[in-house]
Amino acid sequence: MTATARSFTRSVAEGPIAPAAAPSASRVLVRALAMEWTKLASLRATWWCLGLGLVAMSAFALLMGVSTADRFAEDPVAASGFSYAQLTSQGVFYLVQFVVLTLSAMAATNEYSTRAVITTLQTVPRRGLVLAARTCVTAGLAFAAGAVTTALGIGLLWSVVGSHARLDPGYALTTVLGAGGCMAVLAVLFTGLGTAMRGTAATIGVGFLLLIGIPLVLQLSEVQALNDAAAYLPGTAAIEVYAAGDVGFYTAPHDGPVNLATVLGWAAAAQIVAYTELRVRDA
Amino acid sequence: MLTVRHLTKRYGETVAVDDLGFEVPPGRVTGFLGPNGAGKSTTMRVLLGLDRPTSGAALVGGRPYTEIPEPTREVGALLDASAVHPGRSARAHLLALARGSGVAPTRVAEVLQEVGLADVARKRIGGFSLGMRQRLGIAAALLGDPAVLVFDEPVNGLDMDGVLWIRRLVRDLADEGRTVFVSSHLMSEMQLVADHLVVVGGGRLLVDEPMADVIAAWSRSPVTVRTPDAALLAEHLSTVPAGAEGRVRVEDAGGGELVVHGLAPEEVGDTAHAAGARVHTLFRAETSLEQAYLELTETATEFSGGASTRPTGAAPTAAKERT
Repeated sequence: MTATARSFTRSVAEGPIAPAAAPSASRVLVRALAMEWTKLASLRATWWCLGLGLVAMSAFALLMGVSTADRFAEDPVAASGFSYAQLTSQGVFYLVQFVVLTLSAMAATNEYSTRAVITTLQTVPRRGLVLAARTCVTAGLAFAAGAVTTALGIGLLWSVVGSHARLDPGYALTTVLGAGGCMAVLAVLFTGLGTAMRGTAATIGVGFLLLIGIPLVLQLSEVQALNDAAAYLPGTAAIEVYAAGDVGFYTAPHDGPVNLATVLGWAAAAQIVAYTELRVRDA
Repeated sequence: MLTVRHLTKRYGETVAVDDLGFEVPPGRVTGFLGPNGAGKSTTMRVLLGLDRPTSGAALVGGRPYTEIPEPTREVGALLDASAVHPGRSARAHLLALARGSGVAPTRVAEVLQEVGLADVARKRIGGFSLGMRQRLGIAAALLGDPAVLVFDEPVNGLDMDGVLWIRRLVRDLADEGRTVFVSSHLMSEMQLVADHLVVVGGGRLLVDEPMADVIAAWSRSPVTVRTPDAALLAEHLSTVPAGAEGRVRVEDAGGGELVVHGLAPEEVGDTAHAAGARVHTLFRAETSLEQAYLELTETATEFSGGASTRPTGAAPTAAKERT
């Protein structure tokens, strides 16, 4: 590890540096996006996380498919009530959204535990821009995770039960895009939450409670008002959206736009808290 | 050019930096010296836009860091070499920074070559020694070919090879006309690299002077004399009135060696001649910055109410003092 001669750097004897023209706002954003993408994509954990999502969804779809196919073989009439979207949405709810939670929490918080955030903020001192870029990149990956796992799940289910239950490609596409979109919005939420909390474990813990812990307890209460309140949590509101109301294990008191607004509201609130925290607090 | 003006930074009740002000001009190495906890890192963090000042300002080229359009092309900094994700390769780490600052990705290979990490470019940083991480941090600082460089304790944890490399690099960067601002708590290190010295203690500015002036101003180095007539000479020296260098104090180092504080070698020689004492050796030890610094911080301690007024480093054995 011997140092080589310094030969390539500009000789400052040529004179003071002329102030460079400031890059446009869009160029600065594109650079921040490229930086965040390079950072996220260069970590093995990112790909392990996404790979785990694919494996989990595959296993879930095959398991559900095989048991359903057995049932349909004995009772073909039952196949008429079969819903591809319901099963894959449950796979997303029970498995994929936790991959998105983990991915977002890592992307938002790992620079605080390693202190690498000081290097990031030296490169891009505008903190809102760092948050925006990081959120976009994470949301993009989350969209891919939601859409690809759902498509894979539907494909595997169809390969097993396709002879019993017809698949409507248009409806399947809606399910795929809905799952992708909702996972992207959850990534926005959890990247915001992680940025505000700065700790990976804490973010995943709180995220777990929001997604499944609290709604489960509210439902267990058997108090109707509390049961209905569960619809205003991000995970349950999201599955109403991507399962298009056909959740199977839970019915929200309202449809469509309210659920979408709920998920978006959670994401917006988390981002506002994150941005405020990032601006006010020292790095 | 770096400008720190009436900078104060409080963390809750703790005052880390207290009305600090100095400038760091280009073309020379400015050392930033102070004991641990003196406010060096805080000042650098405010300079780089990481912490907000409680009051005052720390400016780069007249602007706050956060208002520079492409900051890493103007200021390269290494604050904490361990502040990197261990799971990323050296190349990926630098590539992300290059993309974020609009620096050509080809610079990554260049700086890796320059800091001697080209062979491990694709290895994960987690397996790097502290010295290698320090080099990686320097590579990141050089990425944008900036005119201003800020290094916080750059030689910490480096082996001798690495220390020599940093010293040469820092010197070369200043000789190229860049503004180089290097902090250290090691006086000996500063003496070797810095042209100008900014000394802080307890968050306050103690000294902002050229290195040579600091040494001259803050040290009164003793004169060593070896004589077979030690007792005779010591007795005569103790009658010499206090001179320009302060009170006269003679220590008997044993074996016929006297250490004389407060007199120039000429005065010691003349006194010996007058006393009829034979002189075999007479010299003034080269003053180290270490000594100047210790005396300086001792003064700072006295200012802040510290009790010690005893001269630093003096062996009080058999010392003959005259007041």
